[in-house]
Amino acid sequence: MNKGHVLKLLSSYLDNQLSDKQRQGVAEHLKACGICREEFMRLKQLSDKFKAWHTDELGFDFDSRVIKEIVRRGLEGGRVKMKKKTLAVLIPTGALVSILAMVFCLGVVRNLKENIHGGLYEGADGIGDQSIPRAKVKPAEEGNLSLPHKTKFMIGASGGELRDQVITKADTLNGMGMPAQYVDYAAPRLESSLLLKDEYAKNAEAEGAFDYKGNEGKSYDDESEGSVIVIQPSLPATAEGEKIIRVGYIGVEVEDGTGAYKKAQEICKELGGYISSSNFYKDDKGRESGTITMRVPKDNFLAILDRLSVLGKVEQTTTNSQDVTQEYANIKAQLEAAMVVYEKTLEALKGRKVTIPEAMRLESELTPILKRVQELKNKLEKLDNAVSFTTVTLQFHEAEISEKVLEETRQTIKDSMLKARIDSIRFFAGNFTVVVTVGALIFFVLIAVLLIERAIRKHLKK
Amino acid sequence: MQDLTDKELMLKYQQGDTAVMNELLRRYKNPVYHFVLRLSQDAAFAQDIAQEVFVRIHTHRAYYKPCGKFSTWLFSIAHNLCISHLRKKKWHVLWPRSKEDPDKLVEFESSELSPKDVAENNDFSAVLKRCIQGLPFLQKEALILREYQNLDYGEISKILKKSLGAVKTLIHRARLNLKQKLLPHFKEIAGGYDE
Repeated sequence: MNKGHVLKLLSSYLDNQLSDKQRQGVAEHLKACGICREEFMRLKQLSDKFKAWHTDELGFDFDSRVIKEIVRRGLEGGRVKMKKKTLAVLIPTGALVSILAMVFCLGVVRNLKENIHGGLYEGADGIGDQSIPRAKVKPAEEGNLSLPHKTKFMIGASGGELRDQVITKADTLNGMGMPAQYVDYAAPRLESSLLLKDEYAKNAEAEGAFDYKGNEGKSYDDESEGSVIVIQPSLPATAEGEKIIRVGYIGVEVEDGTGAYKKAQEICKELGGYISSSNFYKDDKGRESGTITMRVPKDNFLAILDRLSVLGKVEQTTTNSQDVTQEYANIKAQLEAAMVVYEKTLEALKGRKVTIPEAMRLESELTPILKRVQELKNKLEKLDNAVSFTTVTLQFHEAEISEKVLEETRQTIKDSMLKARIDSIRFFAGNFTVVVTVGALIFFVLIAVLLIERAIRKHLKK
Repeated sequence: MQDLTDKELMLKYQQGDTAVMNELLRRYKNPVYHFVLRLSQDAAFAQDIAQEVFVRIHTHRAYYKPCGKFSTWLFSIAHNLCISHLRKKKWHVLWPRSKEDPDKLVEFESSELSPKDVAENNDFSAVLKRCIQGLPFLQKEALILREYQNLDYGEISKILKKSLGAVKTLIHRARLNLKQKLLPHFKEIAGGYDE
């Protein structure tokens, strides 16, 4: 220690922060070295001078201030804890509510889309019949006919059990909100026809002319459809010798006019009938429509109506029957009477010796009788033909907004949406890095803006 | 309660005896206040920091471990608060503004004493304050802890989170700097030696 100065250790020596060995060494050095001793004395004097800096004591109010601050912080801490707890509840709740809201919105959007599609269908259904609102008609199944409930009930019911069903039907019509005049109109018609049908049914069951049992119980289909009513048409039975002329009309809205026209011809041919008359035309909008009058054997009357009803949406079905039995019998009786007169006149002409003037008179009497016989025979043939072949008229037309066009439009929209989805996925997949970078950048910028705003606010507050 | 040591007091405080705070305040409110006051030379700031120190003791009492001296922990809290406040006040330190006219930037005060200052202010305490204020923060803090709080170097190293050697150097350099600032005006402590 004596060899060099210990100036660096003097401060620690002054503060008594040296080890015993160092302190002893410094003490010995200070005895020998005047420079270090002088420096030490200066440091000691300086240290003594520090005592000159006196400071005031804190007042008693400081204690109460501290206690108050502790209490205040305690309350605030409680509030912060409560706030944290509240946030812990609110954040998951908010997230849950957000998810539910999103699901709800998606559901609403989906339903909205479905409603828009449904609206298009109904709109298309309503086109072409603006004066009378038309109910949605479900295409009939094979073997049944479908009828909108607002069409006239020109058909009858069959079978005794159907009476109850008709009453139920009238109630149902009321329940569905069907206008009272239709119910009032339809129910009595059905009811009255039942009385006839009971009579006819007895005969028919005996002769097996019509399969009534097979037609029963299918008067209408699914009740859940509400506005859709499918009523099975049935016809009066014909007893032996009875002559009934039947005429049917069916109006159908079809998808494809040409196809429906060809199909109707095929059906007619398959059922042993022939086309009596037909016309087919297109309007200026390209809608195809036409009318076909067919003659089919009486046994296939219901079958052809069934077959034609599946061509499209049935808008109207009308069947009508005319009983010509009496007329047929009269003509037949007249014919028999005429034949008797004719035969007697002819016999008189052949068997007796008549004079020429008498022969000429008989001949002149015979000619109108012969003419009359021929006319009556023609009438009978005509009636036979009318009875044995029923007349069915099919009127068809395409919808103003064709289902084809709607389907194509829907397909186009679907394709466009699918393409848009694929494009968006491709875009995100292709630009994933950019999207993430931009997102992160925006996030950091927002954080930076918030921090800067906070700092500025604090600065201004101070 | 006055007979209990600091550690015992804190253990009682940890167990929920809130009356301990009064005793802690009685023992340490002035040392903490004086420490911060000498460091900042701002009485209001010193009171605020002192108050905050005791509030922190209350809120962080569970973290106190009786392995070290309580005073070390106490001054560590005060030191941390001063440092954090200093960081927050950087804007003001860098661009201090006049109280009268906030838009006018004030000049930095020089720590160097002019003879005129000394002539006008014969109060040594005022000169000393100004000289100490001109020291670097850590040197000033280490010197105050040593000279006024009588803490040993080991405690100071824990408070400042510096090594023992670094604390020795800080205190040594603080004294040398202070001596250099004071010596031109006080011949009795003047000397020819400069390190």
